Amino acid sequence: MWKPHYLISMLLFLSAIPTTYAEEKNQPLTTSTDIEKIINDQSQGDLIAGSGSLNLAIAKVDTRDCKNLGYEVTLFSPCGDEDGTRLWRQTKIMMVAGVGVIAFLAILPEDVSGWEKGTLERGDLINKWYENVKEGPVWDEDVWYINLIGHPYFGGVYYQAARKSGYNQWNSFTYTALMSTFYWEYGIEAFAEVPSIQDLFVTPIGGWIYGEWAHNKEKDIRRNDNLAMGSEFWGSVALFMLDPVGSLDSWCCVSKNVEVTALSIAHWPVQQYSSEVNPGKDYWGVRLAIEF
Amino acid sequence: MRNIRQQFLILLLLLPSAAAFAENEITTSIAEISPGIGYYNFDDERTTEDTAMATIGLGLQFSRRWLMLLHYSALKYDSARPKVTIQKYHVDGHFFFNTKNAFRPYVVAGFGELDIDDEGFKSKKTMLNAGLGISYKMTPTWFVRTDARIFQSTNGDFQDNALTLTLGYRFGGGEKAD
Repeated sequence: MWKPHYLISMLLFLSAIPTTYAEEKNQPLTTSTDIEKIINDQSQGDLIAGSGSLNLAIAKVDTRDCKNLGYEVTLFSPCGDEDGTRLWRQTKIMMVAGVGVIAFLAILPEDVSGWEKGTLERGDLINKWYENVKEGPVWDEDVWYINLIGHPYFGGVYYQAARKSGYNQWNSFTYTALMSTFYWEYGIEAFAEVPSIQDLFVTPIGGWIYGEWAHNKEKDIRRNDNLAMGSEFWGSVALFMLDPVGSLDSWCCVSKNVEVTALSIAHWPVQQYSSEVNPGKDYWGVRLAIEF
Repeated sequence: MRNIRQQFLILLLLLPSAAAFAENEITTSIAEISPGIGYYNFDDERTTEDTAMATIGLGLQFSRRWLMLLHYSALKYDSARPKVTIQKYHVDGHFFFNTKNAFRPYVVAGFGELDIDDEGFKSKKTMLNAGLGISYKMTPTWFVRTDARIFQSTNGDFQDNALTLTLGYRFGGGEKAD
């Protein structure tokens, strides 16, 4: 039987990266267009003032053509209108959701979760993850609708997070591949089962194809006053299904100054928590802080 | 399994070199799905009979020259013994020649596994494969490919052969004009 205090013995694969990192990374570099503007402004100023020098040393020059990046990956150095802060915020929402997924897996029957009874109580979760990662990847025997519908759908969810943050298709695909590989297959899901070969391909590629369709479909619905089949209700349902993380983001975080300020792995000696739970054993857990 | 991981890593390392050929904005037009049929010729040392197979591929055409594909095949077996299942899956890299024209010869190489489950007796062999083929572009989105390959088990036990014919579809409008 799962009890709430067992949650503290769960280990989340992902640890927090300081928020300042994302904020610094998101500062858009000055584009060549900006530079031309600076030159023009400053030249005019010089003409008016009749003195002064052109000092561009303060500006970091970004010579990238943001509309034609080819295979260049800009996830970690946003180009032009790409919104790294939005993407990082939504990534954190997904990480928090991952804690919920682990908790949910913990209460599922053993044959569904793949966790042997007592895994959590014995603190074997990290060993389970390690064994699964060491064994894989393997060709999984999941039913077709999980592999061919479920995985592309969730790939599309990752894809939408990046695409709607202004990234181009290739970067959104790369983000999808990174999330599906390291966050899901080798992260959350590896606590329950061995990483799957077909999922490593089907999730990002299927997610790209479905996600791009979802991206355009969402635009169509929004252009149509958020109506789907003439109905506001179905419009809302469709918009949620097409981008659930974006919907969660807009409800909880984007305009309400809610910020996940810490998400990390922590270690507690058992005495600090409870002497009744497995006395003599320490606990690993998740530290999550949300600021309102 | 370690072999699979090493080969997977090598293939991933090859991707940046393939990506270096890109010039235009990258869209879903590089993604393809390619169902097909084929014939699998088992090594004489095996007790398994040669058989037909159905295949499906999913992959990315990074440039006109480079394609990476995950390939799955279900091999048909004696229908009187429905509990016997044979399947193979491999990740392959294709390199195409003559890419300005519709007929494009190619070389292909990859790695994967062949699984046989014969009424409880299970065999799982890591297999390397290599072969030659030709692709014909019918439209920017549709193409056919056929190839002949050798499948070699990594421990040297078996050497199988296969012929495959696939019909492929490229998403997002398919191959762009020069």
